Amino acid sequence: MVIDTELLPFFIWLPLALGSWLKVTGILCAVAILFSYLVAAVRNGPVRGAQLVGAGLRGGIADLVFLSPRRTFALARLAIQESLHRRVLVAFALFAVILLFATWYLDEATDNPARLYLSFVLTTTTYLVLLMALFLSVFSLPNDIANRTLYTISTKPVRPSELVLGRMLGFALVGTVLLTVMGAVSYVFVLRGLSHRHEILPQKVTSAGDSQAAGPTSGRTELAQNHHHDFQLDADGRGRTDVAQGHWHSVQVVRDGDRVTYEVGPPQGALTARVPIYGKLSFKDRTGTPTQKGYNVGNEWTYRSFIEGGTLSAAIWHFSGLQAEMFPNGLPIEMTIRVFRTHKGDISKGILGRLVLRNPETGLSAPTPFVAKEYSTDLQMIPLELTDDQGKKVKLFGDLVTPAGQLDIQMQCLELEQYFGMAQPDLYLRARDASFTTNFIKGYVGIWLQMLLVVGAGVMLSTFLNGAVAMLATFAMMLAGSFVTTIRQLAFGELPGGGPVEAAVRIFTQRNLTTKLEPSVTTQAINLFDEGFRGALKTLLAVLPDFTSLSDTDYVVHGFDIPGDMLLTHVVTTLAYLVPIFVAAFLFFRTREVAR
Amino acid sequence: MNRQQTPFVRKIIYLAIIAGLLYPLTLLGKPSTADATGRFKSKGGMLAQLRDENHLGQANLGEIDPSSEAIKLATLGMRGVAVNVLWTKVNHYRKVEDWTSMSATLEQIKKLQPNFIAAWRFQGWNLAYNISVEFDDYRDRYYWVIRGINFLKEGTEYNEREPILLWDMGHFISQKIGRSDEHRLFRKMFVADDDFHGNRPYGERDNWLVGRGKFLETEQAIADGKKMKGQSPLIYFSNAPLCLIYYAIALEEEGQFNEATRNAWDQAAKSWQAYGQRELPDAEGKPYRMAEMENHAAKWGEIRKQLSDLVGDDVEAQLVAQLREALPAEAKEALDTRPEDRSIQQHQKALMAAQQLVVTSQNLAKAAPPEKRSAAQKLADEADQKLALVQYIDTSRNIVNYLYWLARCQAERTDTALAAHQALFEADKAYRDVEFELAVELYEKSFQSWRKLLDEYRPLMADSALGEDLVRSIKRYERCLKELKQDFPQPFILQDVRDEHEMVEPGTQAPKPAG
Amino acid sequence: MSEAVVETRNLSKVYRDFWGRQKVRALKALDLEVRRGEIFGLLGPNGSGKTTTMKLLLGLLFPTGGEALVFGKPATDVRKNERIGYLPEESYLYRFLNAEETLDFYGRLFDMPAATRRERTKQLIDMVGLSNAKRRPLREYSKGMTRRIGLAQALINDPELIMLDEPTSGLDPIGTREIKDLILKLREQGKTVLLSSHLLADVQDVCDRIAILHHGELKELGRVDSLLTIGDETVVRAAGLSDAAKREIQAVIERHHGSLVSMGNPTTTLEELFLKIVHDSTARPGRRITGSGPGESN
Repeated sequence: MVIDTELLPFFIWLPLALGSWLKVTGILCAVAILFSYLVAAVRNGPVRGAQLVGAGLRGGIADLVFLSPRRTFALARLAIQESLHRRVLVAFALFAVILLFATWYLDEATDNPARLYLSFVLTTTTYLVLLMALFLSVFSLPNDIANRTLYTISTKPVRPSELVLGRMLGFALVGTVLLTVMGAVSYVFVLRGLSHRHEILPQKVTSAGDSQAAGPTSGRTELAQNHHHDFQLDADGRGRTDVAQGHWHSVQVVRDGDRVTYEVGPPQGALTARVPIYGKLSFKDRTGTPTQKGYNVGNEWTYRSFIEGGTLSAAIWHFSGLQAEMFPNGLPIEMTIRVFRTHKGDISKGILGRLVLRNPETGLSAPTPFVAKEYSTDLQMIPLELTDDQGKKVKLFGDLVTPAGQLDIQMQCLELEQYFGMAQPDLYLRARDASFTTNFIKGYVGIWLQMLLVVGAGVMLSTFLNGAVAMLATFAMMLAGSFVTTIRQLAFGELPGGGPVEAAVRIFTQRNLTTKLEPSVTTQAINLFDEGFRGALKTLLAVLPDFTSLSDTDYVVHGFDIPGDMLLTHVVTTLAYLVPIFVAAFLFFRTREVAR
Repeated sequence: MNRQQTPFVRKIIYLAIIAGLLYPLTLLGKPSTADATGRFKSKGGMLAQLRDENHLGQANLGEIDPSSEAIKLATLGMRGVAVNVLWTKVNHYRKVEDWTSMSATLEQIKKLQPNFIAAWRFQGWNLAYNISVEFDDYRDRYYWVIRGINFLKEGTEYNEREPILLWDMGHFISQKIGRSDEHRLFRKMFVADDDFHGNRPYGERDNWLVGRGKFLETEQAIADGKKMKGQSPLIYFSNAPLCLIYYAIALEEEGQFNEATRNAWDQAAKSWQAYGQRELPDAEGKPYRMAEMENHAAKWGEIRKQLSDLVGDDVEAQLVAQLREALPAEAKEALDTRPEDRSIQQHQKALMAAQQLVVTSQNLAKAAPPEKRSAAQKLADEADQKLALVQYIDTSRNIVNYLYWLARCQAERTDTALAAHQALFEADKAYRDVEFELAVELYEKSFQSWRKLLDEYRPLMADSALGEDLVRSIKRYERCLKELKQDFPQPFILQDVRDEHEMVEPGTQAPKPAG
Repeated sequence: MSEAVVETRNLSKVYRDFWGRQKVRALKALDLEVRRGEIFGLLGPNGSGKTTTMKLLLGLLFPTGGEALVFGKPATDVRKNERIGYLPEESYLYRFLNAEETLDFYGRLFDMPAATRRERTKQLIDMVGLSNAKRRPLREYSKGMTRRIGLAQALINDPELIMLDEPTSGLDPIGTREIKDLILKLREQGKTVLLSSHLLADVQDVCDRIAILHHGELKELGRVDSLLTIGDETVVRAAGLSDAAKREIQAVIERHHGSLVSMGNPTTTLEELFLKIVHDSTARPGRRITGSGPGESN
């Protein structure tokens, strides 16, 4: 799996995030107060303006503090009833229809059906739930204002804060229920879609021994869901298949008098939630000098860098915190590496490589050779007792792993002029597997957080915009939130071609991206304008929620456990956005004339 | 009373009119139906018949796929936008090496653009040629080549008997599996691939034969009226015979020197000759046969002679003399010296001069006496036409290497050739097994057979692949002799092959990539 | 002098468009007050500013100038809503709820505990006569029923001040009568009622004091009886007078230098007649015996 950004532990992240949050909200508050003072001063004179702003602030704080839960829940209940009345269940019907016809569009020849099904189901759920949350939240308040049903409510002792919060809560609850049901249905869909059995024809089974009565056998299953398995049975007629398309089956011989049939179990191992322990990656170049990155073999995507074979070039992962209790059977190393051949060599064999386990303090090393398997996850199990490079027997925990739990795992390529490519998450220790179901639920928590944001933003924008405009604005916010990386690149000038004016000039004059514009007054004006645009984008970036970062469906799809730290980080981030959104919504609503 | 009943009566009248209109509507719009074997059960209404006649309906193009129709509808007219997004995604997934997502996205593109032939061709080629080489393990590469081929096969299901897709399939199966670096392994895997072949018997599973089958299907589709885009008949009619030729070569490469190989060469020879006899269209669409170039050349000679006779024998000589006079002095000098004494510059000048001394038929006709001029002109025109045809056929022959393959097939059918190949194969094997004396003996035997072949079939000398193989074996022979401390025989029996085809070997160091 | 429940001081409202330009001057410097326990009527033609005044007092609009005070506090203070009830002209209620749910919902908004809510709901539904329609959603209600449920929700918190906007418009005479009776009953309970209307006859029947607005300005303010009294004429209603008695009274008037304006049978109101006929028809259904009555039915 590709992990682009480093994951910070929660309690290290929290102070940093809190600091920047306080800064941003502080600036926003100051700007808001200044702006409202200016408007009030212009309309009513400076002194009266200050009085108004002061009164407004006091009233606002009172409204927030004296929130009544019963009223809020009553309004939430109303929001739920309104949603049901607006046929929110249509979303669920749509979901059911999409799932029913999904199999028409899913790739039958895929080599990894688990990933495909999970990714499909999670994507569909995300889109449907977010769209539904959008439509619900954005039209509710404007409808009330247009129908004037808000008059009846505003003339009851309802604080604006309760009104706004009640609506947000109500829609969030509807979304949660919908999400739960969709999640349950998706889970069943995935399990059913992946379940299959293979037939085994007796003529495809070969005995290792002489008679077919007893003795180890091997063979090949028939085609099912576009793949076969090879399998091996021991003398008792029990065994398992190899791993194909990410899963294996158990096989059992059933003897019924003379007839021999084979029973193949359901697929196992397809749906996983690995809990990886990652190390810190560093490189050595071909002379053995430590460097930050390896070699570039010409790939456009520079996520991975390469080590050169037959030289001192190496990739070193430094692990810490390893304890013997965590690994009772040995060290399970899983790796996915790339291979780059500068000459074909022997195409029928893979490239030879070597893993060296090294004690970072004493320097004791124990090598293990392996053959590179590109594009598949290779599991190398390091036993508890190994031989070191002198030939002596050493223990894994005790000799190789330091008392503090640190270990270096070094990878080298052994064939001259061939290259191995890796990134930090490509090699990890598979300590244990968490429950897939729990992980699946955690994935849905990510979707839930996104939905909360959409509901909050939708309600907030609908307090001062009419329904359709609020919908577009919320949709734009969601879209922008999905393209935060691109916006960041635009804002910091990393994309070639400059800002909007410069790009337009280039298009119309048909200049390509790399030629500079001639220095002139016009170019200066263009640059100034574009600088302003970039500044505006930077401001936007500070405020925009990064939707895609809240989504951790990638982890579920690729079979990795979602770390608790990450989940906690996401929850706190969402809260950090929701609180200002709520305050903003409530303030906008408060300053609005209901009967306008 | 009336006011209550009139609306009801009106409703009845409307219903009756609607029912009445249904009949002409069915006449117009009834769809045609076909039973399970694909033959039509009913022709359907007028519109369906028109569609059928003009080959406009989806049913004529290929399979009607409800999922494809559904997703096309679901894009609400923005199919172009959706397709653009999907193609961008395919490129992105390829960049980040996410093959699962890439395949899944290709599925969507397939459904959205089932009749866009270029898309099928491009992606089939992409899978089989670009993506397969990203993988290190040859088994993975094979898998992706087969995926490319299957992708094209699906394309033919959506676009029935589309010649270029069938041709691409034939090309991938024959060339990619049969001539890539991994061809030995690929050929073995292909024969063992039960999933691909289904019920096809083992004897018919050779990739060259299967590829040839596809090429024959292509020819059949074109014969049935489908249009072929992007290949000329000269090329696509040559593919099927070439498959047989390469099949025979492959058999020999894998060490089979028996009746099967000889039969293969026989068939290849017959097939190539049949190709020579096939009617191909020239630039104006008039038919010609490659095998008949000599006939046409002879005819041209006859007409020219007739013209010469008509005009008068000496007229031509006079014209030549005039042209010679008009040459610059150095050219004349060059022509006058004997070929052995000419310097390089003089050679060139002589060559150029000789070209200028050719009298065209037109000029000859113009030099005729007035009363014979019209007849002469007619003859001259005929002669020029024939000459043009001969030149065209000559070019075509060069494009497909017609004469070389003709000679090669003829040569390889003989026992001499079989013996030569077998001896060479066994000699190389002995060399690898470090049995130098046996190797030397076998090499010498093989070289003698080769000498006979090359003398009899001159065009074989021109082929660089054959020549390089021979040079390689000669080098091994040289090494064997060195080991046995024997001298390399001078003059060497295949010295001309060495002179023609031996190259300085390129350096063994691969360039280091940038750090 | 009882306290002023509602007070406006120099209240003005200008509707501005998006750019801040003036569009309409709805109210110009209105000064009025409503005292506890009285029924106050706001009269005026359409567009005179009656509804604007109501909305300003309810806090649905913000004043451009001056002040609007309810119970001595600014009208925009949300806490005053605990003690007021508002019946709008159109039903601004959620149409997918039924009567019980509606009242329950608004009851929750007053932070009423469940038991109180149940009791009040039942009470009010009985009072407005919607017991047999309490489970039907509001979108199926007729205009009269809608007005009644609106009234119920206005009274759910037993308010001290009730504001009614065009309470009788669109109702049939029976409904109008019921509303008027209810308003009078509210005053007997010590509540203050502020209503706005352009149906003059209805206002005349119930209001104690009225204000007449025109083009946003106050044109007249005062007690109904004092405003309408024609000071220089006297009305005497007597029963059982013979013709001779009538002639004698006429003579007495002339003796005192008065002039007889009119003498004859007084008329009852058409409303009374209508109500009587409907009442009789309900008690004894069936065709009315044609006598000196109006034309035949169809």
